[in-house]
This record gives sequence, C-alpha cells and structure tokens, in this order.
Amino acid sequence: MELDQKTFKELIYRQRDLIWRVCSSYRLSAAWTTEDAFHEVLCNLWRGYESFDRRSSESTWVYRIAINTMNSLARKMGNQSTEPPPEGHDPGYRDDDYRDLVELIEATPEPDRTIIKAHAQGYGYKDIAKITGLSIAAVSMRLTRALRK
Amino acid sequence: MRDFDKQLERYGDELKSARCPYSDVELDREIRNVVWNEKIIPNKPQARHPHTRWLWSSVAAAACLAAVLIPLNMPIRANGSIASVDVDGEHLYFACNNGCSPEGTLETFKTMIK
Repeated sequence: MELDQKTFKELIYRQRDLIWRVCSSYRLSAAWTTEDAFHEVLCNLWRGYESFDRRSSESTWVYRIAINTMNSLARKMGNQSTEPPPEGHDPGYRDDDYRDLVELIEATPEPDRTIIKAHAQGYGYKDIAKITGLSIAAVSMRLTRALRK
Repeated sequence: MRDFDKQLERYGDELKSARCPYSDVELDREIRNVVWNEKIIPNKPQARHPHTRWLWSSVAAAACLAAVLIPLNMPIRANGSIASVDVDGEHLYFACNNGCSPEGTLETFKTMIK
C-alpha cells in the first residue's frame, strides 16, 4: 500500500478513541504521560501502515499495534502495572467485588490480560487471535482458563 | 447473568468509555509534529516527543554537527525549528517541532553558530 498521509490521517481520526483507550489503561512511569504513549503508538502505526494487509479489520489492526507498543514499553520499563478504571457508581454492583476483579485482571500476565480486556470490550475469538497472534483455539483455551480463575 | 459476567461487562464498558481528548485541530497538529517528523527523520527519539526537554540537547547536537559540516561546505536544509537533527551524507536536516518556518529556523541556527 502506498504510504498516503491523507488516508493515514483519516484512519487516526477514526481510531483515536481506541488508541487513547489503550494508552490510558497503562501506567508506565511518572516520566511517561498518556500523550507520550499516544505519540509512540502513532509512530508505530505509521511505521506499520505499509504492512497493513486489511486481512483483519482496521480497528483490530490498530488495537494490535497499540497493545504491542504499550506492552513493549512496559517491558522496557520493567513495570507492567496498569491503572484501574475509575470507580463507577452503579448501585447494581458490589464495588469491592468489582475492584477485586479489576485488580485481578490487571495482575494477570500477558497475553491473558490482553485477551480478557479484548473479550470484555466485545472482541470475538477471531479478532483476539489476530490481536495477540495466537490461534483461535489458544485464545479460547486461555480465556476459559483465565475466567475460571 | 451471573454477577461476575455483569462485572466483566462493566469493566469492558469502562474501558470503552475512554475518549481521546484531542480536538480535530489538535490531533492534526499531533500527527504533523510527531508522525511526519518521524517520516522525515526516522528513528530519532527527539522527533517523537516535541517537548521542550528535548529542545536544548538537540540544539547543542545541531551546533556540534554544524561546526564540523559547515566548513566542509555541506548544504543545510531545515524543515522547521531546531528540535532534532540528522545527516544523510549530503545534507544536514532539522525537524520542525514548534511551527517555525524552515527559513526562520535556518536563520536562527546560522545566528546561533556565528
């Protein structure tokens, strides 16, 4: 694919919330803001844009690059902890249980954590397989095992 | 639906609720500053994060390089303000990070190293 700045820019406009969502769910270090992480993902998307073969959906490809970028940064910094989402106020949930669940998910090692997060956001096995580079069977097995815990 | 499933659904909803705070104009600026600079000067960390903290070290690096290259009559090309610098064997390149014109940057740089 020809490196077309206009097309790339339109892609970023469409997927900006997804990119921000991934970046803001990681807490890397005090020196790295979500904006810094966002920049890093933009650069990696541009570098990888030529190899985007459209066999997966655009959002799946963007999600994969963003997750890989953030996991790579986390590994380099030796800190894979993530920031839990803000507390909700839904009276239908017991917040202590919810907090426990979030902490459990954040403490789950990769790639299971990515699998659970993607599943929670509604991605199917096929998309999660493309995001993680695992087979569909492996995703299914890992997700079942992780959720059972 | 089990309580666990509800909580997992809530977790997914909260993940999905994050919104990019950049306006269209701001996002355009970020792409221009970060990505297009990256294209001009690949693999230069200075180009990725157009923050002040990178600026002075890059200016110093540019000055050192220019002190060597200018006496050799190597042409200089500027792509904006001095925020990062690279040499491809023929030209000395500067990347733009704060919106100055290439001409203005070059003049500023020439003044600095006089």
